[in-house]
Amino acid sequence: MLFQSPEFFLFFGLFFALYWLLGRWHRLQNLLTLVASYVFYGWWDPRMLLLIAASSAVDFCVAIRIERTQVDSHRRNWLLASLAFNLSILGFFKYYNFFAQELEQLLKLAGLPAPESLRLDIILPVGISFYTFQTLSYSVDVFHRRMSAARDPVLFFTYIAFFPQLVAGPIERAGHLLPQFAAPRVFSYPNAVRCSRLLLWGFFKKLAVADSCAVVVDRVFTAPDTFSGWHLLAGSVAFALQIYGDFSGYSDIARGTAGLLGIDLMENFRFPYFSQSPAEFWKRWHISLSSWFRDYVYIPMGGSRCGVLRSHLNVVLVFLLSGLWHGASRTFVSWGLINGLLVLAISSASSIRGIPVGNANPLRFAAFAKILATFLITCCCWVVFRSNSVSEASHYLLRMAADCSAHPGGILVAFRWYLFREWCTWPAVLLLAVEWLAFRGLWNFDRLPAALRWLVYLVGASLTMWSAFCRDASEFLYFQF
Amino acid sequence: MRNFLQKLLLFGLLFWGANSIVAMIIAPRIRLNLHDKYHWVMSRKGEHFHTALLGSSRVENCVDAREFHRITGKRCVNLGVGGAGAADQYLLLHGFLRDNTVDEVLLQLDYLTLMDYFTYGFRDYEWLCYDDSESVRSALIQQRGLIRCLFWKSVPFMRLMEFSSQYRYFFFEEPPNSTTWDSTDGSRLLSSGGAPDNSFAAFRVDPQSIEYLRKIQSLCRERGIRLIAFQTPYPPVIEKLTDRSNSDPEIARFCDEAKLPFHDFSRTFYDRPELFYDRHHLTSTGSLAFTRLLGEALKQADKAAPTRQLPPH
Repeated sequence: MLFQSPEFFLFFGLFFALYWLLGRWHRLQNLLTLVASYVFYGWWDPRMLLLIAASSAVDFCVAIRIERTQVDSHRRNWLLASLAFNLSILGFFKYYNFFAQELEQLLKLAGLPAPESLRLDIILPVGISFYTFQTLSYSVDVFHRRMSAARDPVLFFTYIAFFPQLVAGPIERAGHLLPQFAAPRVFSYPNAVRCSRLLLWGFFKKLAVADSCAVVVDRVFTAPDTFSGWHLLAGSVAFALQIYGDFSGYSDIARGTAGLLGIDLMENFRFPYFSQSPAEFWKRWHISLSSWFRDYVYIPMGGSRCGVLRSHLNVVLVFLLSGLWHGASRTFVSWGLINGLLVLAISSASSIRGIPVGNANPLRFAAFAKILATFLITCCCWVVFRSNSVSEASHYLLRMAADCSAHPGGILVAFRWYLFREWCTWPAVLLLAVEWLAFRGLWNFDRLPAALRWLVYLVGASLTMWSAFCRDASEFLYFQF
Repeated sequence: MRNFLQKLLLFGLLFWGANSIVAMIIAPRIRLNLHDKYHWVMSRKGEHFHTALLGSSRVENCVDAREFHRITGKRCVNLGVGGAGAADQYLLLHGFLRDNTVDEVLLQLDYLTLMDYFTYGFRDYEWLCYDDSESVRSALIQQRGLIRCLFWKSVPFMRLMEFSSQYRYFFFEEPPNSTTWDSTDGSRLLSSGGAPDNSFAAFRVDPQSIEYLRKIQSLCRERGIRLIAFQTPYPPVIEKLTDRSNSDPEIARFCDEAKLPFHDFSRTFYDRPELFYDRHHLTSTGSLAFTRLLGEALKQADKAAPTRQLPPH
């Protein structure tokens, strides 16, 4: 059930009404939320419910055991059991075929006899990476006594399966979400208005921006040889906007939907394309994942408190894992590795030359140049992410670089094509303009007269709907992760 | 909560009103897009043709109206439209005859027209802007269901999305069964039901297509128009790739029942594959060559059994 589908509107309308009818009984609200979340998730494939229920049940029981056990070694064993269970599920469903294929190729290269095929016919459950990380962080937090184990199974199962953020995040922490489910919720008008705006903005990002850019992206990435270097650059910029519109749009819809239910979800994006360095970009992009890796991988490995070499290795390893988290393919792993090396290289170069990274006034030329450079670097990295193979990505990037430097004048043709012929990219320009104003603190929607605000809602919603009419409904990109 | 719901309702009403007005302004303008052949056909007015060619892209691409005129002396219009199924063809002819007159209709019949499965799903998005016509309305209801049609009527902007997508409004609706791939794994449909290997799908007659072909026949009878069926040529490879020959008895049965003269050219160019640019369409040279054959065949048939004196032209 996609957020933009009529089924979801019907489902959410019904759920919203029932949910607030039960406003006095928050435990019943939780039960209703759990049932609705399972219906929502089972809509894709009811078999997947078994997996999420098993994962939730194991962590619910393990966390209680961890809390009850006083002996450290026993507590550690229970934690290891939880990690092993969750990572095995994730590993099997998401990574088995990838590693089996790599092994097959390795055996072939070594000239060793390999079985006909090690790969299995496995369906990748939607959002498995997201909810597995939620359950993992819960067990770890209980183990470190950062929080106490949940005793109410409905509460815990609802936390894992909460439908607004179940399939593509934000990856919530139990410490943030569980107390909200445990407390009664009160409907607040200002909050409902804020969340409705967020919903509208999320739909605009997804339907008007991401799906419009996808038209250009698909055309360019399908046959890069038929386009000039500048067009390829425009294609990579379009993909950067597509993935941002798609993913941050989903996050906004998730936050808006949850907010209408009185549940606050964490912010997942904070103007990432206005970052002045790759390191800053990763503090602003998919914040819930970056902070998850920071708290549960990077810091436990020693973070930056160990030697220079080791801390650098930690950074690269975290990015490598982040790439692998996105998907079982060489392109994602390479994308993670490239980002890790970039973060290291630019941070090291800046610290050697004594240049502060980020935080400069974006209106200053140097800061603006940094924003532009970071954006272009990010776009190049996205090419690796979007391509079907590493060789395809390198061919794309090499052709782009060679052709752009050989025909610098082509930028005008590409610019004209991008903005005027492919007019569907205009919503992306509008998105960047609004985000820039918000980034600069100049966007205060509440200051506008009510009539103008309503006009913006109406035009925005209509634009979004008409954009959706121009093409088939597409899934969110991050569902595959 | 009440305040929020009231404002939400008000917003919904404003949204509905504003977009319905926009839709009502846009919808008639869609008819003005004469680059779309459906609208081009529907826009013709006050003309008289001796012959109208009716069918899918296999008529549009394979018969040259000017060459036909040269051979037969009959003023001809090609109403063939890419992807038009039997229902589309009926509505096109119905719409065309509203403001124009013809003496005879040459209807192309082939396995694609009869099976309504391959690429020939009903094109509701082409017809929604003509739903002021009773025949279009009833075709829409029959092809897409009453609920959807009522929805289109009450939420006018929802119909506009049909112009560019085949979006499903209701979760309980089955998606249109018009894919060439398997909906479970995305792979091509394997041949089955006695179809030759490499075939996309086994031929099966679609009763609705037959129904619309009968409507075409009735329409012609009502207007005193002579209806002649024919089948354009295929390259020889078609026999290996499809089970189209299974449609031959069905076409023959339909023509017998309707007492239609039928000119079958399906195998005429089996020895000339160079005249085709793909499995279903002729090149320009092929189109001229076939038109000559068709024209001569019709002339011969007219000489053998003149059914009606054509008016002077």
